[in-house]
Amino acid sequence: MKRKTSRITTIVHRDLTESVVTTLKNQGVLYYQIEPGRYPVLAKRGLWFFDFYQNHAIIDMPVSIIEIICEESAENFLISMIRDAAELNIPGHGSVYSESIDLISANHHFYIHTSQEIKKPIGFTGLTGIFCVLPRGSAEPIARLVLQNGIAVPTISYGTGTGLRDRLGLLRITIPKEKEILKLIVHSSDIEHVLDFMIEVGRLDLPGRGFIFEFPVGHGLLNTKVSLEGPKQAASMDQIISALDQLYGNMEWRKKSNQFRISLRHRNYFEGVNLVLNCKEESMEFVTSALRKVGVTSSTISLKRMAHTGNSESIFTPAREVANLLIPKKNLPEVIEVLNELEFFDEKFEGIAYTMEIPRAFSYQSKKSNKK
Amino acid sequence: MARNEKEEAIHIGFREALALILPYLQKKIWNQFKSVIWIVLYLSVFQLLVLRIPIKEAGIITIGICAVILGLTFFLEGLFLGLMPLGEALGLKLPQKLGMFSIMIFSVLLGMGATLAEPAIAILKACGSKVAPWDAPLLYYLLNGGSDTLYFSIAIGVGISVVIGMFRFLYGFSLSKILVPSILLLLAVSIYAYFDENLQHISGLAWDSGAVTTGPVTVPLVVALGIGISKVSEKNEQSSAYGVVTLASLFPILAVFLVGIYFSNKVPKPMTEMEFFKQGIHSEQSNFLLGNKANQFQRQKTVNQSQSKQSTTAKEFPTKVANAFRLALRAILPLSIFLILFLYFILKEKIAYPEEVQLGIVFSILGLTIFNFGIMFGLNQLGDQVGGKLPSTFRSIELTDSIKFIKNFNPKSVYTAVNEEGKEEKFFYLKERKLYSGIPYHEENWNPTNKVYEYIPIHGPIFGKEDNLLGYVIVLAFAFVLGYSATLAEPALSALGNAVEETTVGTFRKSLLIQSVAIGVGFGTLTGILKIVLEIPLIWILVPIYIFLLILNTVSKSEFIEIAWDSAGVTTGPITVPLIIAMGLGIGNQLGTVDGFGILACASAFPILSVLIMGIIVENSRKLSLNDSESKTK
Repeated sequence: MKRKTSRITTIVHRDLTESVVTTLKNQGVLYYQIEPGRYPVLAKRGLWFFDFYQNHAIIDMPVSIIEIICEESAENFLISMIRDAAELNIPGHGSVYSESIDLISANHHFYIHTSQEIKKPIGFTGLTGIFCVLPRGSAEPIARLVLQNGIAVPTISYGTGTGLRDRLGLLRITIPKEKEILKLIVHSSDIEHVLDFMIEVGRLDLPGRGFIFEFPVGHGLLNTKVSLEGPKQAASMDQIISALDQLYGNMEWRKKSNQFRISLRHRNYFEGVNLVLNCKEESMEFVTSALRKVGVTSSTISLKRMAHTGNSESIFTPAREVANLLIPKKNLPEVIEVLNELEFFDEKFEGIAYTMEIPRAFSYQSKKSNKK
Repeated sequence: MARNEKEEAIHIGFREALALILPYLQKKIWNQFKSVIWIVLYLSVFQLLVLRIPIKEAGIITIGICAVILGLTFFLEGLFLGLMPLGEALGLKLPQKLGMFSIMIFSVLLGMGATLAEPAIAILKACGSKVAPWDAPLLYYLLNGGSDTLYFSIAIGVGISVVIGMFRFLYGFSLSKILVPSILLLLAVSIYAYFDENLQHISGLAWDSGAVTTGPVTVPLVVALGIGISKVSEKNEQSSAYGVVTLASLFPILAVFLVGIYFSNKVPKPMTEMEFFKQGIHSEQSNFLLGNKANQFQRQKTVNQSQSKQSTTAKEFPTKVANAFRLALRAILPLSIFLILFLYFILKEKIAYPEEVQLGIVFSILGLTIFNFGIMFGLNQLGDQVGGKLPSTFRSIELTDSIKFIKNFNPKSVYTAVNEEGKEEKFFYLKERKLYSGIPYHEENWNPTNKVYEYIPIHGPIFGKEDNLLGYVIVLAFAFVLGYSATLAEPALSALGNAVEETTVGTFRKSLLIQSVAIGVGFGTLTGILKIVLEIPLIWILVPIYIFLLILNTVSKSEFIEIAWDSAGVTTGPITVPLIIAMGLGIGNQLGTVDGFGILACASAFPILSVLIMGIIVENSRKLSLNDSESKTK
C-alpha cells in the first residue's frame, strides 16, 4: 500500500497567500493543507511601539504554511510555479522545500497532485530540516538566537501535545498542553551543531520540555531576511547572501560550524519514522488513545485547514487535525494495522497517513541517560 | 514499552499531586493578581492621597478584592476548560450535521440565553432607581416597569446578531458589508431620537446597553462558536472568527431604540416635578408609568438619602453570598446544560474530555460566585466611595456615608455668622477629639422630637475654590487612568485576547491587544466624563467618532477591523461597568444631570479607534518586511 511521493511545503508571508493559492488553482492542484504561523524577524533599532511593551527586538510576521502532496515527478514543476507566484527570490517573501514521503493510504489517489510538465530542478540541495516541539512561549528565545547567528529564519506554529499528560487523569489540567512547533531549514553540514545548540538553549534534555528531530529535505529555496534593518548599502546583507547562494548553487559557503561552541556532551539520538496522521478535527483524540495500545504514547497535534480548489464539492471536511507521531521503524506495521482496524481511512475519520524517515531525534530519555 | 492500557495510568500520590497543583495555581492566581492590583492600588492611593478621605470598611473591601482575584482565576480557567471547548465543538459539528434553519434557531437561542445570563446587565436596572419619572418618563419606564421588555429586546438583538455572524462565516462575506449599513442606520436613529423629547433621554441607555451585553459569558462562547463554524466553512478562505461580538453590541442598540419608539407615545412628555404632580399626566399614563407605585412617590421624596446608602453589616454576609451563588448558577448552569444536551441529543456527538468540561463548568460557577461576591464587597464599595467623592476636587460635597448623629443637641448652641456678601448663616461648634470646628447649621437636619441633629460632614473643594479648573482636570485624569486600569482586569477581554493570540499564532499578542484597548477605554471614559460635565449630547460625540471609524476602516486590513470592533464590544464588563457608572453617577448627581448614561458608549467607541491605529502601525512594519528590499531591486 505504500507509495513514494513528495510533500511540498510553502511558507509565505500572509499577504502573498492569495497569489500562491490562485496559482495552485490555475495549475489544477485539488487539495492543499493550510495553516497559519509566524516567522520572527529582528526589528529595526529604535524606539518602536512594540519594543516598549514587549522588551525585545523581534517582530512576528504572519505566514501561511501550505502543504501539497504530489508525485515525485511533479515536484520541480510545482516548486518553480510557487517560486514565481510568490517571488520567493526576494528576501522576506518566504521559503519552499520538498520532502520525500511514503504515503500509506491508497484510497485517495486524487489527493496526490500529478503533472505532465517536466522542469529542471531548482533550489538548493543538501538541506536538512529541524522540527522542534517546545512548550508555548519557549520558541522565541531560540528563534532570537537562531536569527542573531544568521543560521536561518525559523517558522513557528501552534500545536498541542499529548503524552505523559494524558495518563494523569484530571490532574492533567495542571500541565499546559499548548505547544509551539519551530521548524527551520539549515545546510546539512551545520545540522550537528544547530541541533546541539537548540537542545542546549531549549533545555530539551530535561523531562517534559518537548522533542526535536531532523528530517531530510529535497530541494529548497529559503527565506534569508533575518532583520528589518533597512539597507545601508546598495544591496542589503540579505540580498548579498541570497545572491551568493544562487551563485554557488548551494549554501556550503555559509557553513557556520566553527561559530558554535562544540558541546562535549554526548547525546543519545535515536532514529525512527515520523508518522503523520491527518483526520477530521475532534477525532484525533480517539485515534491516539487507540494507538496507545501499541506503545505510541506521545504525539504533537496541530490544526489545519484542508482547502479545496476545485468546483465540485470537496470530499474532505475542511477542519483537520494533523498529528506527528515519532515511532521506531519496526513498530510501523503494527501501528498501521491498528489504524486499519479503526477504519481510519474511511469516511468516519477521512484519514490520510504518511511517513518520513527520521535519521536523528532527541528528547529526554530516562532509561538511557547513564550510557556514555 | 507499555502494551497494556492498565499499566499506562500513572498513579500519583498526594505529594506529587500537590507538586503539580501548587505551581499551577500560583501561576494562574499571579496572572489575575497582576491584572487586578493596578486598579485597586490606583483607587486606594487616589482616595487616600488625593481625596484624603479614609477608606471605610477597609477590612471587608480587602476580603472582597481577594475574592475578585480568586474568583477571576477560577472563572477564566473554567471558561477555558468548559464553555469554550463546548462552544467550539458545537461550532464544528453544527454545519456538518444540521441545515441552515437549525443553525439559525440554535444561534438565536444561544445568543439570547447567553445575554440573559450576563451579570453586567443587572447593573442597568440598578441605575433605574436614580432616574426621576418626570425628567425622562420613557427612560424611567424602561428601567423600572418595562425592564423585562428591555432585557428581552436586548437579548433578541444579540440573538439576531449571532445569526448574522454565523451567516457571515458560512458564506464568507466581509464584516464591513454589515458594519457600514448598521452603523449608518444607528447613527440615523440616534439623530432622529435627538430631536424627540422623550427618545433623547434613552439614547444614552441604548448605546450603553449595547456595550453591556457582551460580557464574560457571551464573548468566549460566541467567539468559540465562531472559530468552530469558520473552520468547517468552505467559503471562508482566510478563516477569521471575529465580528460576532461587534454585531452583538450593535443590534441591541437598535432593539432598545425600537422598543423606545414603540413606547414613546404611551408615556407623557418630560416636564418639571411641579407639573408632574399637579396636572401633567392623565390617570391612564400614570397607571402605565408608575403602576401602583404612584402613591409611594411623594413619600419616597421625604425619605432621607442616608437610608438608601446603608453600610454593609456582617449580618448580610450569608444572604449576599447566597445571592452571588444564585446569580452565578443562573448564569452558567442553564447555558451549559443547553449546550451539552444539544451536543449529545441533537448532534449525537461526544466531547473529547468530558470530565474536563464538567470540571470547567464547576470552576466557572465557583469562580463567578466568588467573583460576584468580591465585586459586591470589594470593587463596588471602593468604586462607590471614590466615585461619589470625586467631585470634591472641584466642589464641596456632603459625605453622606459618614453621617454623625448628635444626641441631645441643643438648638441654643447655634450661632449666627455673616458671610462675604453680608448674608447671615447659622453654625455651631462641634468638639471632635480635641478640636473645635465650626459646623454650618441646617434646620432640616434637626429633629426636635428625639432631639437628634444629623450632621453631614462636608469635604472639599480640595483644589482651590468651587468649580475650579484644576479640580476638573484632575477628575478627567482620574477618569482616564480608571478606564485604563479597569480594562486591564476585564475577564472577557482576557478571553478574547487568548483567542486572538491563538488564532493568529502569536502574531497578534494578547498583551498588545489589551494595552491598546485599555488606552482606548481610558480616552473613552475621559470623553464620557467630559460629556457629563459639559452636558454634551451623546450624538455630538458618537456621530463624528463613528464616521471617522468608518473612514479608518477603509484603510485598514480586515483582520484588524474585526479584532478592533470586537475588542470594543468586549471592553465593558463586570469590572469596568460598576466602576465607571459609579463615577458617572457620582459626578452626575453633583452636577444635577438627568442621566449618567453614555459613558459606556464612549468607553466602547474609543478602543476601536486605538486598536485600528495600532493595527495600521503593525501593518506598516509588516509591509516593510515585504517591501523595502523589493523597491531596491525593481
